[in-house]
Order: sequence, then structure tokens, then C-alpha cells
Amino acid sequence: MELFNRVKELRARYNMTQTDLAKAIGVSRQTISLIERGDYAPSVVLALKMAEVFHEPVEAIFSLKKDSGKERTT
Amino acid sequence: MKKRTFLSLIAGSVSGFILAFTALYARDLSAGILIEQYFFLFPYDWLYLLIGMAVLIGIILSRSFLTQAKRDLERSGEIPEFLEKLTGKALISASLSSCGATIWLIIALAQLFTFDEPFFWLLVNVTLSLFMLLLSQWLLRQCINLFNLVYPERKFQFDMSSQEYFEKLDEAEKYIAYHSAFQAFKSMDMMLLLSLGILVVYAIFVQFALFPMLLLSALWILQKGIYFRETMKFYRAE
Repeated sequence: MELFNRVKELRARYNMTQTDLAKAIGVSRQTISLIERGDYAPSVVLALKMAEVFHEPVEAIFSLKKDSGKERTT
Repeated sequence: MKKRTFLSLIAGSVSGFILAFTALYARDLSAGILIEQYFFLFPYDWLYLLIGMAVLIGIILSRSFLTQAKRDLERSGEIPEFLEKLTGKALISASLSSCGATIWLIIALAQLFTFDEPFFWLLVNVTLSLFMLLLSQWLLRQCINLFNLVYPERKFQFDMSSQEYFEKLDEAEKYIAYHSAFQAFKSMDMMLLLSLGILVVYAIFVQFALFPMLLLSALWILQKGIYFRETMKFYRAE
């Protein structure tokens, strides 16, 4: 299973930079960059904070997609 | 031919050449080139020249990244992504040159205490390495000051322990630290075993060196021991 996210899309919709979003949820810009690239799966706490910023449920931002090939761990 | 196969063939050829070359000439080279024949002012001076050049390149690179980053910071007033990259590069260069200068000083001191002649040049070598170490440390401090400007939310203080600093990182940064540390552990595990293998080849063709072998073995066991101790902490039932 692979974790997909709409963080970049939602950030663009709200006209926010990575730094703006990072400040809003209390993390570094690199963390936002890692999440957007799919290199890091955020904790539930962070996902909930993002959901609050974007006024969307967590599952509308993050979703699991079945991977046809190898399984992804993050 | 696949790229990987081609690279493996090249690696195999180079390894074979080095092994054959070592087998044929190692005894002569070790005694000749390193000590007796080829040095300018004092034994091993070419080695210090190489280390010194590497340290100097690191210092110059770090200084240039630092100057560029400071100029960009004053100009833009905010922290764009490239400034973070410049800060990272400056820190890495300064850290590596500091490591190089420390190694230089340690070897130079060991040689000063072992060799009697030429005392003047050996002392010059130690002084030079000490100067480079101080210079790289000063540069490292400058880089950390810049780092604190770029990342004010996780300022690094010089009296702070690495554990205290680690606690300041957010979850993804901690993940990066764990991931990097694990990769470093895996690489070191392989490198230590490989180094022991190289010492076996050295023993066959040049000279049996028990102390370096024991030292590397102890480091290998120690590293594994620390890793297992830390993992066991998390696997306790209660």
C-alpha cells in the first residue's frame, strides 16, 4: 500500500508557501517538503493539524492506494 | 551489456590489478616510497601535503558558501530553499575540514613523539595542523551561527548536548536523523569488515599488523553491541 497526499494541491489552493504551512502546524519547512514528496508519512497528530489548517477531513488529504508492485513502508 | 554488469566488471578488474600490484611490489613500496626514498623535508610529508590540501579545499569551500549565504540572507531578508542548501553545504565542508585537520594533528603528534629527526620540520607540521584545526573550528562556529539565523526555531547552542538538540527536532527531522544513523551504521559495519580484510591482505604481502586488527575488531564488536543494546531497550516485554 502506498500513501498518497494532496498537501501540495491544498497548499496551492490556500495560496500558502511550504514555510507558511510549516509555521501553521509548528514544524520545519523540510518536513512539509518530505511529506509532499511522499518520503515521510506524518504522524496522526500532524495529519490532524493539517486537516485543521485546510478545513478538510484527514482522509481527504491522505489516502492509501493499492500498489501493483512492491510495497512501500513509509 | 547492463550498466551494473559493466561496473562490476570494471570494479573486479581494478581490484584484481590492485591485488596483483600489491603482491608484486608491496614490500618494496612500503619500505621505499613511504619512508626511505621519496620525501621532501621529512618522512611522510607527501601524506601531510595531501591531507593539508584536502583540509584547505574544505575551508575555502566552506568560507565561500558561508559568504554567499550571508550575502543572500542580507539581500533577501527571508529564508529561501537555496539558502538552506548553502548553509548545509557550508556546515558539511567545515565539519569535514575540521575532521581532516584533527586527523592531521593526531598523526603529526604521533610522528613528533616517535621520530627524532628532523625535529624542526616535525614541529612545523604539528603547528600547521593545529593552526588549520583552529581555523576550521572557527569556521564551523561561523557556520553554526548562520545555521541559527536560518533555523531560529531550533537554535544550536554550544553548551547544549546532542540529546537536547535532538529533542528540539520535529518528527520528520528525527526520522531523517534515525534513517541517516542507520545508514551510517550499515556502512560502517561493512567498512570495518572490509578494513579487516584489507589488513589480512596487508599481512600476507607486507607485514602482520596485530594491533590495527584488534582495534578494528574491538570497534566492530562495540558498534554491534551498542546497536543491539539500543534495540533491546525497545523490545522489552514490560
